[in-house]
Amino acid sequence: MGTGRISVCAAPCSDRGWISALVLMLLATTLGVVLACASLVLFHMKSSQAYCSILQDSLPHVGQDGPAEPLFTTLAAPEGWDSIAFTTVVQERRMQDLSSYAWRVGLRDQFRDIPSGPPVLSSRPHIVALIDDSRAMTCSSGRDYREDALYLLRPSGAVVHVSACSEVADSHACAAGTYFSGRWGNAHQRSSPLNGLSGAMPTWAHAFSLSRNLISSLDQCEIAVMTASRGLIQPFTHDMHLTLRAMDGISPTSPHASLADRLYQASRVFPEPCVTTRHILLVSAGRSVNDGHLPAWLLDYDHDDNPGDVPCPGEGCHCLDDVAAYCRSQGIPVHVMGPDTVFLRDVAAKGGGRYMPGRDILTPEGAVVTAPLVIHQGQTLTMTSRRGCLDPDWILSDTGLRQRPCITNPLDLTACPDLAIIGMARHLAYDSSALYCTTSAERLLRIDLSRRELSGLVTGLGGPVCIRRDIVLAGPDREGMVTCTEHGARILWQEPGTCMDASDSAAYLAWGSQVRSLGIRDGSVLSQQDTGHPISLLRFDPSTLTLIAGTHDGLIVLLTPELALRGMVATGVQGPIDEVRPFTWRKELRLAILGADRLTVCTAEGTSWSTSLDGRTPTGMTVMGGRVYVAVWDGRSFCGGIDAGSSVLQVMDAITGELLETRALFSGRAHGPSIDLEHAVMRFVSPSGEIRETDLSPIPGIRSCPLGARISRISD
Amino acid sequence: MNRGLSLVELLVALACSSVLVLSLYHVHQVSAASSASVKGQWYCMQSLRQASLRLSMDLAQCACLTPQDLKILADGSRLYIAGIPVTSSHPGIRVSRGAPPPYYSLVLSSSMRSVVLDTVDIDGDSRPDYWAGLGMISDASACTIGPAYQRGCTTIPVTLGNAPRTGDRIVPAVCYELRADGLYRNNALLAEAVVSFAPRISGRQCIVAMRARYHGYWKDLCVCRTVF
Repeated sequence: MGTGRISVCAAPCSDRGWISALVLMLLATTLGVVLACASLVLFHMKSSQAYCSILQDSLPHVGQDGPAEPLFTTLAAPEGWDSIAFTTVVQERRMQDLSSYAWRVGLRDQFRDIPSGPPVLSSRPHIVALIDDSRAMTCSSGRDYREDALYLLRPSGAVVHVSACSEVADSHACAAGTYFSGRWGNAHQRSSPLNGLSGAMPTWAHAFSLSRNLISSLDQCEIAVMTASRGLIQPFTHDMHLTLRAMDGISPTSPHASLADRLYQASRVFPEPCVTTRHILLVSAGRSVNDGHLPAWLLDYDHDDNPGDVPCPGEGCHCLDDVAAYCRSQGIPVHVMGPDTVFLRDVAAKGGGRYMPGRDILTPEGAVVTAPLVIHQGQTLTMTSRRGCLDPDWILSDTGLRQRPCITNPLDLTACPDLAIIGMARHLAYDSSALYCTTSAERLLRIDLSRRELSGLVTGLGGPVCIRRDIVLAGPDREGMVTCTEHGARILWQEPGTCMDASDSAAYLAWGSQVRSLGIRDGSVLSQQDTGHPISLLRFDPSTLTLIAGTHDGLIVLLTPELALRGMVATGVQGPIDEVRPFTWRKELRLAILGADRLTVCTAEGTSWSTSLDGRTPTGMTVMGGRVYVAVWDGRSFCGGIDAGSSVLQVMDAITGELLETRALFSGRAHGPSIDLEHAVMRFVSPSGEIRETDLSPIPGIRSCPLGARISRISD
Repeated sequence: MNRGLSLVELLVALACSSVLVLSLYHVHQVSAASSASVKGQWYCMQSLRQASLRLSMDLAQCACLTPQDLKILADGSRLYIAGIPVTSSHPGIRVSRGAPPPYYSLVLSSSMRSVVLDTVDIDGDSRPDYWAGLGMISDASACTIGPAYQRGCTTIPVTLGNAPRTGDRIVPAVCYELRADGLYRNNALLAEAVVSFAPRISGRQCIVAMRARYHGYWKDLCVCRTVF
């Protein structure tokens, strides 16, 4: 036997078979252990993978780039919000298959001011315009016509100045009379000489036209109109339409000119209350006829021993300067407009007034705010007027095109650089780029808000304004015309109406009890409806596509955009409906309605609740977050001045009518509300420019509110 | 040369074999018991995991585009979660061009057995948003749509829960309900091992305590999620 190797694991037998069996057993054991380990690893891997997939399923899949830019969708107003003024902005933010939603309110339209009389101060200048309507006014003023100016020869024979620029080369006859250029007038329309004055232009065309222009810009004054022949033809009023209508009804055809008599009469027509200063504006050629029928003590009041200071049945009475001196002694300055004669200048001097006065000495000093605030890109802009003219200090430049309606075709506009801004801001509307504002003197202004620039002015357009894309509607103006313009620079059409509103495609005009729907671009009549009740207000609700007509007898008529009758609601409001703000609640249309002194909320079925405003005048209203916000003012009785009394903001539950809050705003009439969503505030402005803010941030929807999340991965 | 086994050797071999067999049997027994235990616990976990996964998904999508004050309602062993998750048969509630969210139906009339809604298409996508087995949450209560409901009909039979009041808002909701044979979701068995399902609303949180049991083995799980 040879020496073999010694194994540590001694085989029970030295036979080769046992060794093979042992090796095989070892290999099998090793294989089993490896397989067991492998299966264990595999099980753990599967388990990990399953757990990973579970985690992935339970969590949203987020891409490497993070959340995408949010998508914004603008929809109708949310529930409990004014559906004319507001929209719902839904934000969707996607992260692969997870979409999260949020909403907040957007602003569709700022609120229109509820008109409550002219924007005059409680104490205001009172002016008597004494117009000499004798034939002498048709005589020469000592001036020629301005060559490039436009004049109108009325059928009565009176020539008036129309514009500083003329689109008529020589003359143009129409129903209003004959328009002619100054150049043509100097040759063909010469007035007769008087008192050594021999210019072509009559005194009427010069003095009367200037006085009319002056008076039309005296918005904050109370004006009475007298004529030398008929006496008082228009008592004191701050309604410029009445004043101008009275002036336009005067023609220089009277054989008499009792100037001193009428001046004395004028000195006695001033009222006591509500007067700051008193003025008499004498528009005259300075030639008295049948004058001097005055008390004896007044005939030579200035003690100038003029032999003409006696009553005269014909010409020659010289008492005008005596009465002017008397007026001065009574604290009433007498201003004179007429030919440049020594006598008239003397009358002005003795009357303590001015010869050819300007607006600055007749209008009150100081700034006044007559329209709601403008909120633009987070900034608050105030529509301030100074001396009765819109003059906001935030307008940096004035380069806009000045236009007026063409006399040959009123739908055309004629550029006329001399046209000025007159009148105070009355109505305004604005979008992200431009502000459109009409003034009390019927000027439509276009202001570029980005550049703070007056970019356009059109005369003859007044009344409420609304913007629908590139279309700007204004009206009704004093003549009851509604004008549709493109960007406020080109007139598309004009139609008569007593109130208007518009959708994106149609304009709605009321005329008496009739409502008409017109194509917004071409003015073609689309449909019409007779409601049977005189309409005081139209509001188009773009959220529910309902045209709401308020009537003068307190009814609400609901119409479809095609003017089919949808319903009629008796509101219980006595008198005309002044404002309607629609909103929805539980999918039902509700209307917050303002009458003269009553607030009512009703549905299509009837009144939900109603409350008295205790004799106060509503000046603004909106519905936000299920609450009605009404600004009321108690100053109407104090001479009707917007600076009198005080304004308060009342907050009521829109569903129950419960008074939730009453907040004092300030003295005077509140203009607003103006909503600033960026800063979550509602602002009101007083006539003196005081601004009062109300915090809106607690109202759900002012800030972004979550609306949940949606996983678009199919989960079954 | 070869010689056979002696008696002693045989006895020793038998003894060794017996020990080995007994050892193997014991190992088998221990392994089988261990396997059954693991299997039971795994089954419980699977049920709880399945339930919690669904619950988490539904809570994550709770009240999507529906009123945020009608989010969730716990009623004993039933849990209603407002909204409709996306499935192969329904795309869920989506933003409509016609109306702004939140979307809901209004109860026009109500009785103990049925309710009449103003619409069953709350988001205006021409797809009914209520079907049998689904839950409904209203301003005052929650209930389950009965199996007899014909999809698209505005009259909806109610089986479980309290019928809503007339005039209330109402939204479709995912309905979790514990029955004798397990936890059901929208009338479909979700987790059969779940034997206890106790949802409750605590402050801003929804807390759901669940227990699964299988062959004597049990597991507890508590799902907690901020929903308000």
